[in-house]
Amino acid sequence: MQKVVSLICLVLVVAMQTVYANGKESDLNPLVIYKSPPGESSFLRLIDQGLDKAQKTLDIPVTRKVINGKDYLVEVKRAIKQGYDPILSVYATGTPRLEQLVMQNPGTRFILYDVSYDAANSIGILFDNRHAAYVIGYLAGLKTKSGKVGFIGGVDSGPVNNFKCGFELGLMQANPAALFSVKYIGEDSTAWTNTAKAEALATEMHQQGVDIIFPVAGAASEAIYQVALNENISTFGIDTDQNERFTETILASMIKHVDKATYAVIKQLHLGIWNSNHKHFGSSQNMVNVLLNEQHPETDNDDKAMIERLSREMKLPVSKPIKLLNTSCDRHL
Amino acid sequence: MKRLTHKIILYYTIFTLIPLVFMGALGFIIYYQSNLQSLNHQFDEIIDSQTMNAVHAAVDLDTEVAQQVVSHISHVDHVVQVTLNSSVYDLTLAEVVTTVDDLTTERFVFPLYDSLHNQVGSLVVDKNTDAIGKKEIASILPVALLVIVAFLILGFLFSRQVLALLSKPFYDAQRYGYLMSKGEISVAPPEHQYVEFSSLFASIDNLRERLLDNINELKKSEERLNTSYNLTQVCQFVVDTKNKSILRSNNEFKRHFGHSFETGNNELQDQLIMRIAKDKIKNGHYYQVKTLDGERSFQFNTTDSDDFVIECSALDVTSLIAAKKELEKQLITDSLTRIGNRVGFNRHIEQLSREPLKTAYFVMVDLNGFKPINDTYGHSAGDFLLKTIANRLAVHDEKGCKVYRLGGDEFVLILEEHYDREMVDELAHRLIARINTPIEYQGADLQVTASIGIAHKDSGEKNIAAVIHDADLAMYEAKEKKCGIAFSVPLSEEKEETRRTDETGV
Repeated sequence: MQKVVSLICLVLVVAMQTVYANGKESDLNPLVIYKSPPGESSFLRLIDQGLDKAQKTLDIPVTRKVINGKDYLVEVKRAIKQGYDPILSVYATGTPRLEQLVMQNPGTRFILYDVSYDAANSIGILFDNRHAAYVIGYLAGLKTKSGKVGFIGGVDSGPVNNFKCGFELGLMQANPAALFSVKYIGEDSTAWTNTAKAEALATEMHQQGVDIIFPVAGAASEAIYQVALNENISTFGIDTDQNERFTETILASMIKHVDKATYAVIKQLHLGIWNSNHKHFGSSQNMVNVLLNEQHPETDNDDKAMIERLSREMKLPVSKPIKLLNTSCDRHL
Repeated sequence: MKRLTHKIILYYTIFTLIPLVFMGALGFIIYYQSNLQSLNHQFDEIIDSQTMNAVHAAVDLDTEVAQQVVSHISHVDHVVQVTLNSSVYDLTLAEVVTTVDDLTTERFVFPLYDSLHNQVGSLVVDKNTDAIGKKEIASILPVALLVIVAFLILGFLFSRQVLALLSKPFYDAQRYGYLMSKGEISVAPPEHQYVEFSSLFASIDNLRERLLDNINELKKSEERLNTSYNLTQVCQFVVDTKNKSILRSNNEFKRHFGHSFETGNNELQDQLIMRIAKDKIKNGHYYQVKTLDGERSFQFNTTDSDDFVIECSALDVTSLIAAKKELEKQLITDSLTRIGNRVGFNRHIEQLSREPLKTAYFVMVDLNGFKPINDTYGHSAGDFLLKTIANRLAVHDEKGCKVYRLGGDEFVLILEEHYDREMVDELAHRLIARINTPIEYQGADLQVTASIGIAHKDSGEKNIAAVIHDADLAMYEAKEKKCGIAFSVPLSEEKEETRRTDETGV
């Protein structure tokens, strides 16, 4: 009974806040800082789309800042001083010192991607990429001719390895004899834009006989796609649908609905709800999908059916892939 | 042909299996219906219980709770997919599927409202409506099949048991009946543990014992009959007139006619059979038949027959007939003179009176001078004389002429038919001449004369006594006149002139 009463109270409070929020202009003043302008079909572009939606439907003034090589943390500190709330940070995983900054400014709320801090003023938007990566890996296992598959990550971090783990499991399920080689571009957030290193790694892998590369390297992935295009290697799109851009090389794209997640979290804050320091999205929320590139010469309808079937299996309460993923891969919370 | 066992099994099926199957089917339907109801009930209950959590998840963007909600709902049977959408955040909070197969589904959408009746989201449940019921049937079907198979096995076992129970006694009864009909009735009936059959066989046994008793009785009486059959002095035999054979015969018959199998072709028997077959031997009559001992007389008794089988008996009466003839002869014979006596004479008269058309002459002969001889020489001399005279008269004792001694010295001759007056007259004279001839007895000559009276019975004359009386009168007349021979009045009147010629002749 007590539970019910408290729940009703909570709902009432939420509702009143909603009414209050709708009644007058939102008190949110969000800011997002980009190190570079959001490229087409990029992770940043998706965030931007989410913010656009919030701006339009919730009438929230969103400030976007492109720092273009300036010190990221300095810019964040300045934003805190300027009173932006919340501040969205795309680079938290590659910026370890940000956590300290968050802790030091409890009055400012932070929205973080792919990481969550144990802090009351931060909320992490986490994506469970394992499931989709598993599907991608399975497809790679079916399509590789040389039996050698490569993985190029931005940095050796939880979120990246979340991809890698799922991918590797899928690969081994489809092709247990496959050789799997893993490379990371760098160790900090600069790695995400280090196209030269990415190109070098991709070329090296090609020379070793790898014919499929899964790039999880942010903007640096562009270089890998170029190598793939030149060397006739198959790759996968990530975050957004990139099938159209590289019809010859991309087998499938792993689409992550970052825009939706961003909008949802902004709206939650707009409604005055702050009930946890992380939001976890995955296959179950249809937040991470795999879209086959039907234009690619190697793909056919069987692959499409396979992807559909595996995607459904990911939503089963119990299935073989889920069991494998749960026992082998970190959920990355 | 109907079979009892089939009928029993049929009734068993009708009265047990069919109602059971019917009840089973009813139970099946009720169970199925209640299952469906409870399924719907369960689904509604889960949706109800999860609504508040779902609203909470939709409002608070709580994916963990949302995951729990859809997971809970997905546990209900036939739910294929559950999705919890939040319209507040424009996204899917949780989605779960229960199968990867592509099934036809029906979509149920449950809108979620907060306390102010604003829609905050929806629960979308896809149910595989096709499968609803199928699973229940699938769960009941093995049981139902098991029950049916069990009943079939039970029915089969029952049939077998019934057949086994019934076939033995029926087989025994058939076999026993067959044995009985073949005449092997000394076998005791088989024993059975069931009252129905043991009583049946007991009654058959009863029947059998009575039959045995009857047979024994029959044997005994047959033996007795056989004994008397063969002991009797009467020939008994059965003739098959169609095949001309003796079917059976007793010892007496065989004694007279021999064994047919001894000679193979028995002449005596064949003659007898032919006579019987030709209906020449009639019931109750005496016949002369050739036997091993020659011709003998038998009295025959025969049955009427339609089927060519005649039962016959023949009594040997040869000696009886001989004795009878002897007796009759003694009765009509004079014991002294060995000629006919008065009884024989009277019989002759009776016979004549039955044939009135016959003509006859009565010749009365009376001796003269017999008494003195009897007085002089004694009775034995008299007897001797009478014997001698009787012998002299008996010479004429031939066909148509009979001599009788009526008593004392009085004799009579009856001459029938072919004698005419002349012959009688001539005979009378001869008689007188013979009687007159002296008789030597112990050195002495005994001489008697005779007086003869003759009377004639005409054809149609019935009063024979009167004729005899006339003859008597004529005899007395001859005695008085001492003329030897005298004819009775009608005769003398009729032929006066004849007498004259006689007198002249003398």
